[in-house]
Amino acid sequence: MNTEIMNTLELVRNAEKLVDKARQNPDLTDNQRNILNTLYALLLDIDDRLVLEDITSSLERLQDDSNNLQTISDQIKVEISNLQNVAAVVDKVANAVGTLADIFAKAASAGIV
Amino acid sequence: MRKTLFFKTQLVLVLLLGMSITGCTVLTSSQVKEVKKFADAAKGYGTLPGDVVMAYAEISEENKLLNLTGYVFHSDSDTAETALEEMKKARESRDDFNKAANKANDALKILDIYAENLVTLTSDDYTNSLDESATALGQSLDKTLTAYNNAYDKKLSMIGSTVTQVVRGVGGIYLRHKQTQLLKEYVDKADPVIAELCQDIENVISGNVTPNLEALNNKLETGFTTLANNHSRLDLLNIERVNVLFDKLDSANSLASAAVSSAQKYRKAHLALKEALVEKKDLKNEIAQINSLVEEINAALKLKKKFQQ
Repeated sequence: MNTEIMNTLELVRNAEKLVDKARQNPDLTDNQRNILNTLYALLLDIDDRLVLEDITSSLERLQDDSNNLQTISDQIKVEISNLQNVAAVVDKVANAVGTLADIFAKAASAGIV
Repeated sequence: MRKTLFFKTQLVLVLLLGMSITGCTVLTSSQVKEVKKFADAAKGYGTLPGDVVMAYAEISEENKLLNLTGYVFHSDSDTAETALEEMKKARESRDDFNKAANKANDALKILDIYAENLVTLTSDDYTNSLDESATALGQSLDKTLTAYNNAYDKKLSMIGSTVTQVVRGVGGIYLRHKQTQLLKEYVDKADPVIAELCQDIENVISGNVTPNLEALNNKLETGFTTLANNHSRLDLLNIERVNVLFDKLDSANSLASAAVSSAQKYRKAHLALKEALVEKKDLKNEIAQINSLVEEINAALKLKKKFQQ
């Protein structure tokens, strides 16, 4: 966890405890209780913002790692297509030889060769 | 029969000689098995860190709603508007967490893709597709020779079946050699990246998520106290709802452990694959190499027979 965020979170969570304790006081007026409740809700929101910021910065590292693995994976894909080309090249040669045979047979039947 | 055996022996010798001269190693069935084992482990990569973050977001949202039970509402005050605003903020916060979580899960789909690519790289498809191409080449050559013999009244012998066999045999060995070379190269290249990725997953869970799940447990207890203190009697529905949240929190903690364990298993499986690909100069490996070679030669001979039929 990021130290700065961790320290701030600690402050916020201590404040949450204090406000919560205060709002449980049975002698509070409705208005006082509502104000403390709003303050507590605000602290919960700040708490979540800090947690999200902390998690997001760590998830960014995962994204970087993922991009590095993606690069390797893309290179493997290129190699796979090169391997597939070996049979394709033999196929092309076979077709070329086949065409040559056809031309040769036609030329022979026409008396050209 | 004797002629076939003679030719087979010749071909084996030529290919073995070629291999020993070039020091070429070919893909063995045990290496293919190791890759499949790794791919299976990768498929078992069940829990992603994003799932844990989503669980946190859901419980935190519910906790904020629980806090609303602390308000005292009057028709002449704006407390209801305040509560509505807080509900909106709780939904927005949940959505922000979910966005980040989905992004992380999407980024980690690469773990599956990488494993699938290794399986494709070690597939038999390349050598199998040589069967058809080599046969076509042999047939084309025989067709050309027949045309030539007819045109010039010659009696050149047909070499189609031999060419088919050689193209299939040599091509197959070349492909198997290339496959093993590429497999080793990319597994070595990916290993430190995977180690870092899996370590970062562990760090996110252990460092960023788990401590906040603990804090959330305390907040839930506070939320329940607020609910209880503001109502002289609690109905069963409210109690059950809070209880479900504690259950969800337990599940989130289990998810966190599962995400760490998945990352560790993936890392371990990749390391095992890397070690299995280290070239061993022992008899077992030599036999595996020769078996692999013989498989290619048998495939070539089978094709030759098929061609002659």
